[in-house]
Amino acid sequence: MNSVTAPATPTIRTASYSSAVFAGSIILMITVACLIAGWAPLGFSVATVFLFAGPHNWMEARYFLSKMPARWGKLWLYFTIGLGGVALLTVTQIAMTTTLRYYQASGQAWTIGYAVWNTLLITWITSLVLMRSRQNPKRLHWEIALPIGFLLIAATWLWPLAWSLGLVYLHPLVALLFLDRELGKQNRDWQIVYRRCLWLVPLSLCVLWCLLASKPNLPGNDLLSMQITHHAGAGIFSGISTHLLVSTHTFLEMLHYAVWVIAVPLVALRTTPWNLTKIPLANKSAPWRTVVAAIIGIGVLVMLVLWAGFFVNYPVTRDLYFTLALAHVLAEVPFLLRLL
Amino acid sequence: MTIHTLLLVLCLCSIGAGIAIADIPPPYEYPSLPSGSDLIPKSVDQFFDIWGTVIAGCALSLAIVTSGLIWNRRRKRSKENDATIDTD
Repeated sequence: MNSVTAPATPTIRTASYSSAVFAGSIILMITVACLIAGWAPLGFSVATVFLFAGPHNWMEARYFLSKMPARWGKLWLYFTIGLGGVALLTVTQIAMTTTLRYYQASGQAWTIGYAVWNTLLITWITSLVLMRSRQNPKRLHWEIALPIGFLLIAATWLWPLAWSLGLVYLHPLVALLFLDRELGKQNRDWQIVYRRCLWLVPLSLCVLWCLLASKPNLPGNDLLSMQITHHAGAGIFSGISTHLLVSTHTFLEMLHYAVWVIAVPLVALRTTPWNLTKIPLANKSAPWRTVVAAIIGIGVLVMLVLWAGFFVNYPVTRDLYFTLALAHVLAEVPFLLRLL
Repeated sequence: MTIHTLLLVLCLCSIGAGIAIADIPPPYEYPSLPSGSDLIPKSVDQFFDIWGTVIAGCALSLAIVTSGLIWNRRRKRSKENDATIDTD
């Protein structure tokens, strides 16, 4: 009996030690992010976007490359609509904002623009969900996505700006879902620990809201401060302290960056980002290997250009970044649905 | 009451709900729904005031109808499963 249990003990100890370290890291990360976001929201927002905007996009692109099957087979329609939708929705969003800015359109024209674009987005996501429901492993109960999609369309036509702002706050949380799915596949012990630690997120949000709800609006009428406060919804929620809005948004954004820059490479990639051996698409053929290497190389270049841009003109680069970053937000949808 | 009658009732209710929503004072500055020739929008602003609410009402109607259809399909599926179990 002893001979059976004895060798397992060090393994269990190592597993529980690694789980404890993982839990400690999550708790430290969430606590520190919450404290700094509440204490210096504007500075924290500037610093986190500067440091992590480029790297987290690069890591996301690298992760999606590793998840892309070499041959689409029966999934060709799913991936065509998925990736085509990412391109089309990004282009239409950029075209819409550029046109409306150029013609100095009224607030109502912006509202219509957002309502139409949101409708396209919901239609795209709903069609992907319905397609995914018929793929293996089947999720037939997901057909409920159709009425939910219609409900969301109704909501977006009633409150288009609030709906768009909802996406801004919802997007950082999607990263937490990605990490949960990856932990489920790679390390069940860590997944259990992770799910328990996640309770700290709503708790931190409650602490932020309780402490900052009565705070005065953030000072500063410069372009950058206005950009950050408007991005967090200052123009829509006029009755809420901008200190609270920016702190909440920056806190969630930091969690999003931490997941993509630290946790996902640690759990899911388990190799250097430039190692192509585990990318199915790179193993398909020599030309594909070149294409994948080029994508990763261009990613590095974009990251460097972004840093240079932040150095030269932070507000303009930030504005440009958040316009183009929509593509990575959308790209998460088809890959996340495949994980669920 | 068959499922089709139920769906018809739901459709009528949802259209009613759509009209009711259109008449509810808006969360932010919608004027009350105009009638007759005023329904043809004269400007971008008017388009959203009128048709934004109408589109929301239609989407809500479709949400109710599709959820009814899904509910009916699920009921049929579970009946078929029960029948199979009984036969076994």
